[in-house]
Amino acid sequence: MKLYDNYIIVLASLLLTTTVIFAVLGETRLDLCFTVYLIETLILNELCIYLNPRARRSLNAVNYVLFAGFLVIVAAKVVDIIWGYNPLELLWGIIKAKAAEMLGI
Amino acid sequence: MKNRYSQLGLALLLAGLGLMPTAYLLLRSIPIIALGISLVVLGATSLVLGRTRPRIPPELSSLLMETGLENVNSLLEELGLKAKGAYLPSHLTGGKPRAIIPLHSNPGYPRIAGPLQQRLIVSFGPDPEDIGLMTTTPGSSIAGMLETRPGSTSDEIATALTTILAGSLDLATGVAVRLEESKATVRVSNPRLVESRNSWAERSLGSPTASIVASVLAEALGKPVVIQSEELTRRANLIELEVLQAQDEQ
Repeated sequence: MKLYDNYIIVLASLLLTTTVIFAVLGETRLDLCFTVYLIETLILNELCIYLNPRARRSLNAVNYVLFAGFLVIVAAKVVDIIWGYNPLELLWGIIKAKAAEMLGI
Repeated sequence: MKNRYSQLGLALLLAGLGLMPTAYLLLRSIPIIALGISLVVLGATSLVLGRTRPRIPPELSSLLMETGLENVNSLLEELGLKAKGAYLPSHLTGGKPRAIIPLHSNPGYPRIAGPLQQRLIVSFGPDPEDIGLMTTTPGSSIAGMLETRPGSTSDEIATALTTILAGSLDLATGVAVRLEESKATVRVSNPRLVESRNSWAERSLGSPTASIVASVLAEALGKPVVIQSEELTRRANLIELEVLQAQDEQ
């Protein structure tokens, strides 16, 4: 299935290149990384107009999930601006503390 | 696991989900967490693409196609039909696009006014000799693969054909269409069905790729279409088609 192969190769190349660029630039904001990945995936899906309708519908489902993740990031930022704390960072902190406790680090 | 896309997707998804907490808790490396996120995105994409692949094995599909073509071939050979078939749009067949092969090799092609009967042997004109064999072709079920009926411009037809031949059937890598008044030239790049059988069915209805092209063209233009010639090479399949006039245009 050449079209699927090309789609996966292009998406993998895009995401890997972006990751390398972020690593070189020393970017530490994961929400930015996720947002850029989302934008790249959305653009590639829009460019692949020749994918069959069933594949496009399935890819749209993935896009909805990714977009929901983006909305969570935006909501966390809004909470951070209004109330002064980031719920996602708070959540990560709790997970990290619990994991460290479990692993005995 | 159904196919290699699903397997790849699951592997990437699990690798990404494993990499993220490891990088966060143990390695404390942001680039590796970002790599984990990208693996999850890629894995999810590959996993859903795998679910859109047909469940019928390609060998079985090939077997069914060969059987269908052999049957049509035997029928045409037995009846001695040498006339070229005309591909009809769905509004002239009362169902899906089909092809009609005239029983008598008249100089002209059939001119059809309204929907034909849903039978094997049908009358398509006022003359007693206007009788033909209406057959289902490889392109007959293709219309169902498209979400909407393609428009009548060459770009819209090329997009519809590329979606089917490259996106759904994986028979070619691209399609270019040139439309003239009563003629159309379609170039199918890198076709995968390159063996010419030179059978009765192929002489009358064209190769399976040309049959799909003719069906889509007939459906898009809303007019009967006849495959005039077909040049088949490894790099391209050049199909020349004649667009017949509809009854109300005469």
